[in-house]
Formats: sequence, C-alpha cells, structure tokens
Amino acid sequence: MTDPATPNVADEPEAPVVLTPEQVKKRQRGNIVIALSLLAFMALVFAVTLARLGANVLDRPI
Amino acid sequence: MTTTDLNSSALSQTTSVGDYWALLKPRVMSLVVFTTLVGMVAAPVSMEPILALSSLLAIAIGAGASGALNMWYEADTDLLMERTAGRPIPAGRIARPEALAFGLMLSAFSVLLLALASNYLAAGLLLFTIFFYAVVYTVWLKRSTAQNIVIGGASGALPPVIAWAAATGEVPFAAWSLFLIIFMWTPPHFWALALWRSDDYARAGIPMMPNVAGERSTRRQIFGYSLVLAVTLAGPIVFGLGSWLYAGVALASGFCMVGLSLQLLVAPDAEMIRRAKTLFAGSIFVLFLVFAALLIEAILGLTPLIS
Repeated sequence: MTDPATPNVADEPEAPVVLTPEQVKKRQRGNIVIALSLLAFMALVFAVTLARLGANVLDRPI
Repeated sequence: MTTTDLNSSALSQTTSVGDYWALLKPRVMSLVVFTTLVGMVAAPVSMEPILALSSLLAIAIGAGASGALNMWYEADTDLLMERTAGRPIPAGRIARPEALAFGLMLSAFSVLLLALASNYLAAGLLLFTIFFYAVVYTVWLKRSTAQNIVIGGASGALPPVIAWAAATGEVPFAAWSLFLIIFMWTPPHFWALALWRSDDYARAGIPMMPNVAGERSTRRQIFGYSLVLAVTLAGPIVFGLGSWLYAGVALASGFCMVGLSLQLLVAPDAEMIRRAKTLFAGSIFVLFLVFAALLIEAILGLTPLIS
C-alpha cells in the first residue's frame, strides 16, 4: 500500500557517509587486526591438527 | 545515552581494539587462565604441549566470550551503576550488536577449538559454562533472585574441571574438589563487593543479597560460607591432590577467610565497608594462593598426602 503523501524512506537518496582520516585509520587498523587474528587461528588449527596426527607426519618425502 | 544510541552502528567507526579486549573482562579471564592451568597441571595425564596451550587458550577465550555476552545483555543496567558505567557499551565505545556478534563468534570458535585440541567432554563442558553464565545467570538468575551469584558461581568454578577433562577425558572427584573450592568462595567474594556497592545495585534494581535481606543477614551468610569454604579447602587432600605445601597453605587460607569474614560480621556499621573491601581483596589473594600451591606442588612433583 503506497501513500503518495508519505514518501518511502528507501527511495530517498542517501547522504554518503564520510569518515574522517582518523576514522579511516582506525578502521584500517581494525581490519588488519581481524586479518591477523584469522591468520593466527588458521595457524593454530594447523598446529593442533599436526599435533593430533603425531609428529611423524612431518617426516615424509617432499 | 539512550538504548537506541547504544545500538548505533555509527559507533563502529570509532571502536578500537582495546575496547573489544575490555569486553572480554580481562581480570576475570586472567583468573580463569590461572585456575585452568592449575587444573591441567594437577591432572594425572600430561598433555602434548601444543594441545595443552590450545586448550588453555580456548577455555580462556570461552570465558572472555561469556563476558562479552554478559556485557551485551547488561548494557542498560551497567549504565546505571557507577562501577560499570565506564564499560565499552555504556560508555558508547562499542555498539551493542557488535558485542553480541563478537561474543557469539568467540563462543563458537573457542568451543570448536577445544573440541579439536582435546575432546568432546571438555568442549561440551565449555559450551555449558558459556551457556550457564550468559543465559542462566545473566538473563535469568541475576535479576530474579538473591541467590543469583551463588548458583551462577558454578560458571566461574568450572574452568579447572574443563581443563581436567581436556587433559584426561574424565572428571573424577579430584577435579570436582577444585570446583567446590571456587564455588564456595564465590558468595563471600561477591557479597563483600555487594555490601560495598549496594547503592549501585539498588539503582540498577539488581537483587543482590544486601539489597534483599539486609547487611546483617549478608554478613552472617558470608561468615557461614567462609566456614564451608575452609572445609572444602581440604577436598584436594582428601581426593589425592594435595601434599604438605598445599595443606599448610589451605589451613592458613581457611583461617584467613574465616577471620576476615568474622571481622566483617562483628564490625560496627561505620567500619563495615572498609571490612568488606578488605575481605574482597583478601578473597582474591587467598584463591590465588591456594591454586598457586597446587601448581607449585605439581611442578615440584610432591607426593600427595593421600593417594
């Protein structure tokens, strides 16, 4: 049901959100932390998997 | 700041890593890390180092995750209390939905990591602990009964049991003797805090014992629990964990807790808050000392008094 008197909020053009340089830097720092955390988690799961398999698994032909 | 402000995602543009760290309740986490370490070391099976460290990390992060979930849920009452108004969400540094997502993600990752690094029993216990703290205590008990921290204290008491399960795949009486110590320690510890912060809790409408039953009754109950705690300190010896070093420390600690709570009990009203603060600080020291004794004994390889 569309009421011509009250425009739909979704149709209005949005004002772009502009971040200050300080906020951009913060966001970039946050993104790096997330990336490093994911890498660390991957490394952790890898190490734990190796530990569960037993150290012999490292001793294999390339 | 209204609840809608707390939910604003515009906040995520100014959130820093330190704020996310604060969400995890680092001081609680450090206690969990310590008691977990002791549980792991005291257990009769020694874990492969990488698996042990990963399990320790998983349990610590699980504890942090429950802290984040608690802060998510309690953002509104934290705002009302002087002690907690500086926390990341009420202070407007983290948007409330971000804390929920963070808590849920860390809960999932920590439980899965523990399942991978140890076994399903330990992982299941960690999942239960997180659920018990975030849902049973935070959502239900805390606002509805003065026994909230007594029952909810089980969450804080479980980490050494989880660690033992991770190391051995079992949870025998010896592991539960560690649980029992922390469980009986929790009421004197938190009620001492509640006595000194009763205005805060009253403002937030949280039914802590002093607000519900009064200061006199709370002091008596603290004393009662301290006596029970002193008895539970004998548990590790009875179940084959403690040697003479632990016995000495446990005896001294039992006397200390009973003594401090007795001083609180008989103190005139003007002295009460000071005594409560002393008991609070003393309780942290005592718990640390007792678990440290077990850790040192395990490292030194002392033979338990009873085998």
